[in-house]
Amino acid sequence: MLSLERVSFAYRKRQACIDGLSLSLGAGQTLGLLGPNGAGKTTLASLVTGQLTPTSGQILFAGKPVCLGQQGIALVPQEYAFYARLSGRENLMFFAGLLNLPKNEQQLRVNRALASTELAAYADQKAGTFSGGLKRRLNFAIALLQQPQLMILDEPTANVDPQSRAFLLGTIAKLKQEGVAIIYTSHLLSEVEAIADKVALLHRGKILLAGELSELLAEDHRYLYIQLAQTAPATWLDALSMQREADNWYRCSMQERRHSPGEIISTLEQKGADIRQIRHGQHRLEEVYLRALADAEASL
Amino acid sequence: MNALLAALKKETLLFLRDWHALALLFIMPMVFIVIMSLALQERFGGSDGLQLNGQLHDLAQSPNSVRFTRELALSSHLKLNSDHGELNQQRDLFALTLEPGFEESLAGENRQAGATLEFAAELGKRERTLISAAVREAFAVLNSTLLAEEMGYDRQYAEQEFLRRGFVATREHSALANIDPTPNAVQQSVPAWLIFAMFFVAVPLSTAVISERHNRTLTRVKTFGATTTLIYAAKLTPYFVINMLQLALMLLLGNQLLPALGAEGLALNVALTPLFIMGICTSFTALALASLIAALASSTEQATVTSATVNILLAAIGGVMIPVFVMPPVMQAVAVWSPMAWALEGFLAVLVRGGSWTAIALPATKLLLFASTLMLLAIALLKRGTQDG
Repeated sequence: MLSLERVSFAYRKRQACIDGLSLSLGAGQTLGLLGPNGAGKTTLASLVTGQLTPTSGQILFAGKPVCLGQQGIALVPQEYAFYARLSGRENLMFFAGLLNLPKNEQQLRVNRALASTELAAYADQKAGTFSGGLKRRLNFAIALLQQPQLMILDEPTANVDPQSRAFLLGTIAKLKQEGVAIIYTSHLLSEVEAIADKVALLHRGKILLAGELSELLAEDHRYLYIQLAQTAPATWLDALSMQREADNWYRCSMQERRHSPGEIISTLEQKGADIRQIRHGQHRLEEVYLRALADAEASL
Repeated sequence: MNALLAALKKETLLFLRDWHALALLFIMPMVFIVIMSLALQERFGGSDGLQLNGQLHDLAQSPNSVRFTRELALSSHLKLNSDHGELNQQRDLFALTLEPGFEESLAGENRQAGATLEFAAELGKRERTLISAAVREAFAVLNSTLLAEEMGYDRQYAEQEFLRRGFVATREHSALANIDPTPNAVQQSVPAWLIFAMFFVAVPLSTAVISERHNRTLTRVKTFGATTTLIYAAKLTPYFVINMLQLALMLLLGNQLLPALGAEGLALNVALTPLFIMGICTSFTALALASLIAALASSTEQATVTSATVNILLAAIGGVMIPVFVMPPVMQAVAVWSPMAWALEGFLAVLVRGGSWTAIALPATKLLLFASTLMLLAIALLKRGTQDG
């Protein structure tokens, strides 16, 4: 449904903020887009919605290059992108009006959006008086008016109470079941882990890590974590491909299968290491994310 | 069409719910017009409506002093009373005392003054001259009438033979004649503060654009297929309508409310179509300036301060706050660079000099050229801003 092929983009006379990025997303799939602030997530969202034009590469939606106002793509910005002095219904009617649909179809879509986000009871209140959770729902409801095939959600649960967060995540899950493809950016990695099928970690406009979420987490089982009583000298780290983490924990890579867990432990004991704890990689997405970023920074 | 109507409805609702903007665009100029018209009505413009309060003390109490008093009371510029209070701007501006030897002085039997005229210290030269002239005229009429009566004739004979009323023929020139009458307080205040208020659309318009840009509502609107042209057409149209409402309301205020408050009324028996054309040209300029500020400012605070500062500066040099004709020559040369001065020039050409299409051609053209330049610049900057993210 969506395919980005070696897409690059740079604001005028500045360094590229998206650099040779390739991605694909099918119907009903959710891509968790991760990355620190300034990594290029918002720029990527602007490229996919046709707000910006790539300086090279191409973005195809349903096989055709995307354009501004592309039908089938909806954006839910991180900001409350609606009018505080209008009621919830007036906001929805305005955005529905922009779609140039017949009046009854507009009304139908507004009612559906209100029902899907359970906003009907608040529809005639000024949006500016809504709580944070209701504002997030209205922000989301506006995107539903477009009946999108692809929805881009930029931190849709920022600053909301757990109840509203659960409601929004549930609504997103329903959309996914209906075949809507979703690009979801969030700093709450537990959320991404809960709803994403694919994950892409952006760093300085490049993809640092990308793939199926299940595979990325499984990769993590290929590490052995050992806590020592003492600080390991550099010779041990080189010999066993170990990396120092916090509190005298050491991460040993087994991906290249150079060392089995037994070999690592016996080598350390021979060198006089005092081993306190041993565990296999059981890390969550957050740790994968932090480690990938740390590796990237270290390699610069 | 649906999209344009939806956007127009949204903009109108947003504006009608913005009480600060409503007050700024309607209440502020109304208050200014009323205050400035009343405060300045005796300060500039013609002396037609000028009334100067003064005391008259008749110490002579003779038949001719009574006739003189009656004659003086006919002056349309003097309002007389018999009080004895202090002379100042707040109360009476002058005191005329008819001395006990009034009859003798009138008959030329003594060389002493028959009357004494005193002025309030702060009274201007123009008013002093006007009061003296009115007193002298009353004496001239009384003397001439007495002379005619002595000869067996009446006042009419005195006016014809001695005063030669009608010796100087007066002729009113048309607006096309090469004269440039100065406006009175109402003719100056109504268009001046109207123009000032029209330019103030820059505050709500630019802040609205900037907040929509910041909270990414503009981005979202574009993802719904709305073009930049539609977005700005919908945004500018209600403000143009507001400018036209300001024009109609301020003219009505000058015509209807100000006379009820004691000021001169704004005569609207002028060419109204050119007046509204001037309003349209002024509105285009105000909207173009607002768009440029919206494109240049990066925060709502910056837009508010910039809009207010630019407006006040243009008003100060453009003759809104102080009329251009009372400015020194250097400032008059500076004033020609303010679009508010061009707008005011056009309005005054119609309201004061009764001009029509030819009278507004130059100021209207200047405004339209200036507005087009600003608008092209604003569009270029807004388009560039989109690519800048």
